[in-house]
Amino acid sequence: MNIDAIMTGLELILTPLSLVLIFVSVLIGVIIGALPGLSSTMAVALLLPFTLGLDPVVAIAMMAALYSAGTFGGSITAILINAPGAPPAVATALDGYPLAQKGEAGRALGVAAISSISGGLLSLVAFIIAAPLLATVALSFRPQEYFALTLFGLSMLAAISGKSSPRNLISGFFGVLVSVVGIHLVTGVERYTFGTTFLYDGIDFVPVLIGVFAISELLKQAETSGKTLERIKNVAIRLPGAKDLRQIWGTILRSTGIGTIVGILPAEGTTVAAIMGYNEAKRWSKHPEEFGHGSIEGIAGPEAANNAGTSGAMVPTLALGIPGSGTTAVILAALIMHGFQPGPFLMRETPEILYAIFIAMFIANFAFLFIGLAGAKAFSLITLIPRTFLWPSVFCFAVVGSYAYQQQMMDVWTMLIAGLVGFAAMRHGFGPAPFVMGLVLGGLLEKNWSQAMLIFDSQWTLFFHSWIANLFFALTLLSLLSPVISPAMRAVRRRVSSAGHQSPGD
Amino acid sequence: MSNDPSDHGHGDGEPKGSPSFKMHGPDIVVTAIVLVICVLLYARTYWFDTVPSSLAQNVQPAMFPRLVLICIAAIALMLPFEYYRKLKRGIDLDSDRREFPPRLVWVTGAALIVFVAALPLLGALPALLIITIAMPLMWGERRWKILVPYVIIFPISVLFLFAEVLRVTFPRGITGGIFY
Repeated sequence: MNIDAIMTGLELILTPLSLVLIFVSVLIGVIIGALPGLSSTMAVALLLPFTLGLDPVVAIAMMAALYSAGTFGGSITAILINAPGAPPAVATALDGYPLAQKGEAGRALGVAAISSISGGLLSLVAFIIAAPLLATVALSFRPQEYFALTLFGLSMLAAISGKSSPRNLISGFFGVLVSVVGIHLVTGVERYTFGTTFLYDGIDFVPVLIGVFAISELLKQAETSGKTLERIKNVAIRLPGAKDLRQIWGTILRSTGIGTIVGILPAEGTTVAAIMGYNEAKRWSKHPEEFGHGSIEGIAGPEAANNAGTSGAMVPTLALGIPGSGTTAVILAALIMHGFQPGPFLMRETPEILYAIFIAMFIANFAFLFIGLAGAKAFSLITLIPRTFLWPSVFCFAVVGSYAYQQQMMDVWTMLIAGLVGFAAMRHGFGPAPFVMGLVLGGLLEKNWSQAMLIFDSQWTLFFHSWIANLFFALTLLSLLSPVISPAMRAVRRRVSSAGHQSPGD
Repeated sequence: MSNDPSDHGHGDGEPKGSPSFKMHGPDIVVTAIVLVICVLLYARTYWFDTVPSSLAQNVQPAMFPRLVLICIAAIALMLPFEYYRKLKRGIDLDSDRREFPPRLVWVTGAALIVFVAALPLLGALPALLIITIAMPLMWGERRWKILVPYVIIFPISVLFLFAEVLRVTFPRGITGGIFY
């Protein structure tokens, strides 16, 4: 363990300004998480331009804190008004809202808060151990192995949450394609610049991120009529007592493990972790019949898993430069924007960032408990902000933020075009998260492919001479075929079982 | 005859046959659009400058984008067959696109374009004032007691934060920087 780096990380974070900024990020994260329609991914994208003048490590720490808090914020509205503020909180609503309707909203919020914090803190331990180990392993990777790993990260888009694997992959590959715009680094040839100087340096991440996450969602909101939400009044968080804790501790530990592992897998993210946490909580429960009717295990399972997933998702992002979720893809873009080189070299050259993020997320977990305890009632009021004011405000931030990035109008146009195209694509099932992951990974993919091709003198079969690369190629194939294999296996199992029932005498 | 309900189509005049091979009209159009984009972008790679092999070091600038485009085109060919297979599993890929976008979406989209075009001409503050009043009105807001303070306070606060705290210089426009 690098003591110097730990001390530097502590020095960077434990200053009054950094602590205030982290606290503000947590507050923004909880508010954004609580507001249905606004996601923590969008919030991190909108936060990017604000962090330009800050110390880069503090900027990244703020985003990590916002990410953690946003995941918790979603559960407040999921419990109080059955409107999950963020996708990872969908599973929390299944039991949180019924419990709130029974007059136990405070207990439901308390269980959610304690489960979130426990999951978050325990998975941070995994994060601080796994990230440097993974980075050390990755340091020995050659370009062909890194190419195979990046390809595996992209192939995981097939399994990312969404309705359609092919659409996710197409979105991801379009992201990769957008990343090739500009001057080709090996030869200096212009690609897809169409003669404009603006595109010489390629299309920047920041306005595109803001466009696809904020503007697309704004237009989607214009499609839906605002519904009046019924708020549960007089809410105060009640921390779980000894009896409740005895009932949920096993679920918390199990879900933390699930969340951390699912988070570490490239492209999976917290929503999948939460759903798996809920399912496993039900499967292991002594009272599965209570699920859906206000079971506290049904709240603890997804809450511990989704918050553990946030720390887990940071592991591949920092150690390998492969984002673990849509939000970490934006954080990865922020790392690049602030001049860091994500991946194993980040750990070697600026190890203090790992510890700074660890400390920031650690503080964030306690901060959102405090904020949750103090302000659950206020956060339930936030949902009453009319969308007629909320979305124009988001648009203003999007315009001003994308302009502020490089102080040029072309970035605002890029943001708007990305948003309009993103909206049209979203209607047909092409999600923004896979696109952004492709955009962020595209440069890495081409760089490693080019380097490997240079080394191999264009003999591409040499890619298969490395067992590590072969392992990742096999995993890529498995991941790509999983949407086909899983239903086929289920169908075979169904047929076998129905054949067994029909002809017992055969 | 098979007992598999999927062998009988989905009624309502939908094409018969195994759901694995039935094609869905809207997805044929989507596939066609994706393929046209791929073809155009692939064709564009022939306009990239060619580099002597010694300089290119085996990596011609068009090679990688072409590989990516081929991957996209290959995956796109699966799209028309996806709808009925997903429907069988209870996933409706048409749920977000069944209805044509309402007028408000088009009006909002147009307003955003007009706003961005007008921003450098009007200057940042006047442009933000206009959009913060126009958008709520377009979306049906009529509570003037909330709207007026919002229109005054919000844009000024945002611009103050960026211009004074983050030192961003905004387009001056016709107001010549009287405001921000």
